Amino acid sequence: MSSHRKYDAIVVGGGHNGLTCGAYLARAGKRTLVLEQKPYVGGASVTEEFSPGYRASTYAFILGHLHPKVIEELELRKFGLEYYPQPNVFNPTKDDGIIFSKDPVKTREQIARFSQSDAENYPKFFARLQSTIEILRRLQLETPVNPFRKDPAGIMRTLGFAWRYRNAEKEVYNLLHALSMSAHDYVGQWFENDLVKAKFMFWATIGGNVGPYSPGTAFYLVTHLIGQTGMSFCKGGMGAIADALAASGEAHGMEIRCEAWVEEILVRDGRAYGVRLRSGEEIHASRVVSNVNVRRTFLDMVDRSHLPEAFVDDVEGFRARGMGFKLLCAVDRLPQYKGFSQEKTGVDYPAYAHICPTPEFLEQAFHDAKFGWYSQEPFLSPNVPSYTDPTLAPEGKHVVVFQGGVTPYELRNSDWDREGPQVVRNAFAVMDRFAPGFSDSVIDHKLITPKDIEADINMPGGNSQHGELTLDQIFFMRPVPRYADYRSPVKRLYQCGASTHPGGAVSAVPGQNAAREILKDWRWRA
Amino acid sequence: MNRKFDAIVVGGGHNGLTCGAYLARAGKRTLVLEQKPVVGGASVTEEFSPGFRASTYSYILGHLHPKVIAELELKKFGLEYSPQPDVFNPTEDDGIIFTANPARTREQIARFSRKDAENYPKFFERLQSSVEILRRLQLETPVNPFRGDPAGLWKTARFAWRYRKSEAAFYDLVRALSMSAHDYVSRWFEHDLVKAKFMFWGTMGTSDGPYAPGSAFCIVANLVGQIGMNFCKGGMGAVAETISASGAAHGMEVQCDAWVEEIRVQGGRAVGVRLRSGEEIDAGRVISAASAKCTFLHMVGAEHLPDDFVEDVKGIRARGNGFKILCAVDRLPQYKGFSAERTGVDYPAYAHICPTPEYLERAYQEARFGWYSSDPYLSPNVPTHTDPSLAPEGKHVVVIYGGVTPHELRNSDWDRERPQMVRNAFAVMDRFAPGFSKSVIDHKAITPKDIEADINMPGGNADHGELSLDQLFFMRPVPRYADYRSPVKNLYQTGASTHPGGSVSALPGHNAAREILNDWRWRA
Repeated sequence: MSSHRKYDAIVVGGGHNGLTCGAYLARAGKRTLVLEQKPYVGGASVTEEFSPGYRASTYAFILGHLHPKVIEELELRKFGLEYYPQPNVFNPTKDDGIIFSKDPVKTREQIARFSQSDAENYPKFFARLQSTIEILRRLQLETPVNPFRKDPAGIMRTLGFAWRYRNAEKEVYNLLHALSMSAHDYVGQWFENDLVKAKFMFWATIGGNVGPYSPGTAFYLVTHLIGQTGMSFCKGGMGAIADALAASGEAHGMEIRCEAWVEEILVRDGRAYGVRLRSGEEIHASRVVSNVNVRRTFLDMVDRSHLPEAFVDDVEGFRARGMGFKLLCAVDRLPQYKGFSQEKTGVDYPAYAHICPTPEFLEQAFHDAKFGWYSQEPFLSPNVPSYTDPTLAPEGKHVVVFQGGVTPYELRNSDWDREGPQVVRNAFAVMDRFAPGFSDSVIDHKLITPKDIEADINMPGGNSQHGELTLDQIFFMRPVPRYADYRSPVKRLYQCGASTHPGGAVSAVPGQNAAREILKDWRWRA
Repeated sequence: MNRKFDAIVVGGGHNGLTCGAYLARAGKRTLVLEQKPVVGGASVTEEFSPGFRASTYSYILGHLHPKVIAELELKKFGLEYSPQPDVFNPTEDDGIIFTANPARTREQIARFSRKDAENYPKFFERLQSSVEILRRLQLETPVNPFRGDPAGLWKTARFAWRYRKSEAAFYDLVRALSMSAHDYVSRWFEHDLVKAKFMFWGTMGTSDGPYAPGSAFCIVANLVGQIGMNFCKGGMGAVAETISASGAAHGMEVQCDAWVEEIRVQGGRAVGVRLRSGEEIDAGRVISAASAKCTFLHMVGAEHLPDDFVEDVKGIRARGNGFKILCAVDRLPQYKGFSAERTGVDYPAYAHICPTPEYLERAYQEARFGWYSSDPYLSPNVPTHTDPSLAPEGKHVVVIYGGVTPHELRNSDWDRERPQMVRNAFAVMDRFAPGFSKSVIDHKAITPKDIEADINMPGGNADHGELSLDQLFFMRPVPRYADYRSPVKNLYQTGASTHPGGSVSALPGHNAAREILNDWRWRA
């Protein structure tokens, strides 16, 4: 059966990038439909009631990357987006702890408590980091340029790019250093104290699949600090972002259909013209945009006969391995870190912490995972959104959300159903060491492994970036060479998710960039 | 009155000698200064035990570039080598041969996995495309894409034009630079021994293990050699001697036991050197084959160098993680897994001991935290099998390269730990070649620290600097000065610090000489 409704654009996948792209298209007057397989939109930016009365952000949990340009252009505040700054990250030791704050002066004072020389070097470290962050922020908003295009337009783009960045020599070198160095070497250039090193190295462990002693992990460290909104807890959890994006789009006519499983992207004569749902229903549109990861889009949804072999080979080679787990806990009291002291840290309560006392602790956590096992002593990032947003838990109770590692996607000679409980025990054991009595405070909990993430929201390998951020999978090679400009080998089929530049995190930038390219094409060929 | 030359080369390693030999052939009056009593640097043969000689550091001749062999007539000057194309990877009850002949390698693989054998040609093809482009890039002076002057823009444009058709190969190269050796081989192979056999190459040159991003590049970099793998007659010292002889035949002078304390700079120009003896020698041009760190942090006064350049040089990451053990033995090692008819080889004179990928990676874990592997991976080779002149009648020399040994130990030092490091290596040997340790008459163990102390390789790193993206091509040894020049006029760089890096290829020396002679044409 085929519906007669015809849209200008269909966005496959209602994650935050799909919604963003749809919202921009709707604002441009395009009749846009967003299709989401699940009963609600958001993808990895969702809030769920994981235990009666307890709600938490299931996947992404900190709002900080959401791009100000998008917040403003889509009027997200007007459509209900609220967030509370959470600028302090606490790294506990057994008897003390250090605060990383967005205020460099405060952070420097904190560091000075552990190492004078590290405190003196902090501004140098900060300056180097900042220069790399600045250029990444510029690149983020740009559609990657394929330097091998030989048509006049392509050559003009390359020259234009070279011209724009002609004065960025030093920054480019620093960026290449970050892409080549391990997080451990990177921080080792300025810091000597283990806690100080580990505090910054923690950022390098999120979204990657190798330890912070591995080349290239310095880049992860940088990418996690490019957010311009400042680390915040989103009121009502991260689902509120998706809701605000949806509302913003709907205000301009964007339609959303949930529980609509797209089985095939329809292609005729090399052009996408719609989708077919599992129900058999066909919906037609003059353009199709996939927010789904590149593997699923091109290996499952598009018939191979429409794709060049080399392209398929590249897509199959796209490496995406998740290494982190989430643990949502309903607790009857706030975790009490025995190392925490208000007057030493100048913070009322450490609602956001990173538990990784030493660089070695972090690296060891990755070792077992290389051989298909999970960490005995996981590193943890416990945060307590209910501290600033009581609506998430019953009166007097709290929600503690853990992001931790390392848990490989596949286990050697076992499976997650069998090992899940032990992962939780390992995590609680570490937590109890730094916040005694924590495990006793847990009323209920939900563990999410990379396998669960993939099963639930289709992130390949449970990798929150859809694909690891290694040199060959970023910029003009993301998701694959020749198609980093949000387009694809199929005419009128576009990409807009975390698989595309600049990658994962709730930044809405892929969706925004994709919409820009799509509308550009529209201007030329309606 | 100071002696005066057209060019002084600081450091008589194989690259310094090569550069000197090319300059001499171009009619330049050239002096090569070597701190040690013998030339060669890491390409030397030593009598480590009475009657037993071995290549102390580099031990396989395979990277030496055919262009250099031909142009410097090295064969005429006595260079001889015997092919050693087969690498044996033993397991405890079998083993697999990697050979120059793809068809045979494929048969060998088939004994362990049909599927891997079927994929081998695809793997080989992919590898070959990266090897090919690397071979092209090796001979080129890196182009700095940020040069804004007309000449610079012209160079960049020409480079883009030359490589305009290399799009696919370029992407593969970037992948190799980004992927771990483990991921790289796992795209085609499933069998642990097959994976580990290729991953071994991925351990030479990285700072981290073969599960770390970028280690795939080391597989490629270790297989770019174009003359096949060989044992050099008389050991690797013969390479240095023949290059030296080739240069001498055209008037190149070599002075050993000459420790250069300072590269003299006047008015932003290098004018010569000062030896520890106090003697000053003048030259129109000075070329340093010493490492970039050694050259610019010790030999040239900081006042002659821009701060950010010095910063960059300090930032060069050079950590050796391999050890050498030279062994005098009274019989050939007998691998219990070896079978002449299964492998089609009489004797496995060159082996890689690394039964599984996990084995290789585990060897790195202790080193990350300042300790050495309890189960090191090993590369034992027996040069005396083809060159009896290296040992007394009936005796043999076994040269073991292995890892992982960090430059610095946490809470200990190498004088204390060296014996245990050797015991660990022998224990592994005995597991695969029972009785080996009993066959050892004498041995000499060399740690990264020893390498640095003896031949000035920073951190004991064989490449003078790890082969990571930001230390390659136009960023090697540091940005803006990858063209063998330096911030000081008339001061040039060659040696492993420069593109394309370590291994006895003679290419840094060859490329540097080309650039120097270029400049000479413009300003004599």
